[in-house]
Amino acid sequence: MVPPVPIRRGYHRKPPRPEDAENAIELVKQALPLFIAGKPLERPDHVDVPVLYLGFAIDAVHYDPAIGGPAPKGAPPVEKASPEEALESISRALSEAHVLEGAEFREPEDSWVVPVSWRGLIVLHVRVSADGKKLIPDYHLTEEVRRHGL
Amino acid sequence: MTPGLVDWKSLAFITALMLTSKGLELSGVFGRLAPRLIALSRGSEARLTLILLLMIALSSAFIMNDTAMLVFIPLIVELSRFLGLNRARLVVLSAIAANVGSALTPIGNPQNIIIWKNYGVGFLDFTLHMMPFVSIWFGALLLALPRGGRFDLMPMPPVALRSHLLVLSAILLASNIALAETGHYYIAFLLTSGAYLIADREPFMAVDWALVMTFAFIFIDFRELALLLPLHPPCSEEGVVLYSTLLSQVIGNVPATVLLSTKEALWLPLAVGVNAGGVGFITGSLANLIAVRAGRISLQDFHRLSVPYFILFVATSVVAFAF
Repeated sequence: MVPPVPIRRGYHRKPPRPEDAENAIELVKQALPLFIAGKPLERPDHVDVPVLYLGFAIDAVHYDPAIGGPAPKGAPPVEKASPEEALESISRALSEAHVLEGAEFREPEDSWVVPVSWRGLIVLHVRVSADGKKLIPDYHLTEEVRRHGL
Repeated sequence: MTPGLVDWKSLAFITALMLTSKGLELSGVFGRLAPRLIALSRGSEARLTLILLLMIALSSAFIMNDTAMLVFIPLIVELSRFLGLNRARLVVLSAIAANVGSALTPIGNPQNIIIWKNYGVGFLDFTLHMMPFVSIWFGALLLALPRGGRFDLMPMPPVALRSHLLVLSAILLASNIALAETGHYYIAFLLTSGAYLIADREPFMAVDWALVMTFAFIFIDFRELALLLPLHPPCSEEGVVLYSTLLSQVIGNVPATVLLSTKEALWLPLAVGVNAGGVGFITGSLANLIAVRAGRISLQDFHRLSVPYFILFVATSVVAFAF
């Protein structure tokens, strides 16, 4: 017996368009110079540095003490590091980072994800609304930063 | 019995308002407004400072003033950096604006909630009586606006708004006021908690439950103290203002309210006193502590501006009651 074809629920909102992706990329280019590195968060095996915009956390960058800069997204190093050193290095890396010319659409979150790279590594993901016009902060991380910052 | 010393009704209502404040904060409404307000300043440092102080004062009247500090101080730190503003000065003025704005309504801070509940004053009545004091205090803040500074405006992308959380929190805030007016404090807490647990758990998980515990301990400690110490507030209105203000400077304005609202002090001088007492030394209110820590400013910088304002607020309040 042939198994039934799984029914995909389908995209019930307005489908993502290339011009929205371009808007999202432009928006992140506009916002990137305004991003600052927040107080580093000491994890059990590594240090993350939150990236802030208007007091909201956008994403966290993993700090790699071996290279003295950001580690690629998805590969946090297993190494302790000095928070002061991490803050200084990530602040410097942010000023050298640039926005990649492409965006991924995440249907469950109904948002674009625009990658930001530093020396060929994707180090930061910036979420943008489906219309490409608004930045979407990471509220869980914002809460962590606000509590940790006190 | 120790649990009997806790004012459970006030604590339930303070918690309900902490939840709605967190809901409004997480809705992103303040982040959404920030780029528009900066554009409104048209590059004038004085206009931007005025807009920020107005926004902080107005927000603090409806969300808890410590939440307002958690939201606005990180924003001010970033703006100061980009626009080259005097961070320390702006942080201190913001803390004063939060204390002043929160004095306006019964829901602006915990001490007002306690007074509102204990004395049975109506929401509108409370607000109308506090309005002249808040207006004078805020007017005095305008003396500290910077003169002549300009900055280059830059395009600032907006932050997404979570409209479902904004609408839910606004409805819950209005419901809480109505429920508290009719004495249904526990229902306000149950309704708020239930609504967030069903619709969006984030505010419930993110609220500072340790602070709720702290308020419970403040009730226990200071009500116990009120039973042990023969504290007699002065009979005159200006005496109550002075007494409650100075007590707030030493032990903080929430403990001072807990200690004095069990005595025969009149509500308006007490409310004016403990709110003016939130300004001044860092010990006056939790909002001061958050501003100094999150704004990364020195105690010296804080007190240099905050103490003169405290003296001014106390003097104007005492004079207002004396004549």
